[in-house]
Amino acid sequence: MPYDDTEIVAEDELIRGIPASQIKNGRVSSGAFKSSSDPYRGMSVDLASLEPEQVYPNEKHLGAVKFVASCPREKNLLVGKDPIATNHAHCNIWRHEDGEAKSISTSQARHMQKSSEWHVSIENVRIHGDS
Amino acid sequence: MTNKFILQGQEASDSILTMGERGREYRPIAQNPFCGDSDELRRQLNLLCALDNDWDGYGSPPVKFENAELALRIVTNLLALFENSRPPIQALNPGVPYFVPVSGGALQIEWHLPNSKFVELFVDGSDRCLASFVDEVLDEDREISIDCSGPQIDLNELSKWIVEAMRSEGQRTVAA
Repeated sequence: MPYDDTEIVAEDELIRGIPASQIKNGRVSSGAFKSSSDPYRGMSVDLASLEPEQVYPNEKHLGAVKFVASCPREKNLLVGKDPIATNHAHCNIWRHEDGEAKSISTSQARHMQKSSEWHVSIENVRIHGDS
Repeated sequence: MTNKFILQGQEASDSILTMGERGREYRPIAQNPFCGDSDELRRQLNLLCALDNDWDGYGSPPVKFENAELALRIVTNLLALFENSRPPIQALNPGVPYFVPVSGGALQIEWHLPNSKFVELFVDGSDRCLASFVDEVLDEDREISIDCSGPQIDLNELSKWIVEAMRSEGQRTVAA
């Protein structure tokens, strides 16, 4: 269920792994910052302060980007811990408006993309226009 | 086994079950006789439908067949709009887009246009697809939702965005 976790503070870093298929034309696609199609339409990230098991690069990810928790919140998105069996640091970012789960908009996805920095960079790939 | 698909109210050619890249069976999307680039479109979309489970490292299934089929319909219809237009508009045909898998079985269609302009469509199985126009130079974006539930999909606004972006490249070149 979407919620905003007050234990995740504004400066907390959120990490998102980038698979090869979400890199097009030498840049990370905004699709990497979009909602999944699960019922709550969450976008998966890891909370850096919980020291995720995931290391980058790995079998699935060529690298990873990071942004602070205040970034999605500035665009009215919710950030909450959502641990799973294989990853205790797993969190989700949700868009929940009028009691309804919605897809993250282009404007919201772009804001996260523009605010991102490399956590582990990928050679010859930009996160956005001028990175 | 043969599957038949209907595109634009006409029966497209048959397709059969084939083996995916990693030996897994998947349904290839329909042949579309209306688009010269259809082989390349189908090749790219078939690859996305044949992604492994957990391709994104967050437990996602591959792109859903229905989403790929709708993406094919949208792109072929849009490219046909350009091909069937007057020559000045024909010349602005943006060509085959990029297809990006999105976690959960969705996909995004992306045209990377001149001068850091992008037209994107998010196809996630909803009746309405989110379409967006992004101008990274001006730091602007617009978003509309397009009704994809019926046999006809109104792509006029999308084509206007592409024409706008492609024309701005022409103007820039002339100015230079």
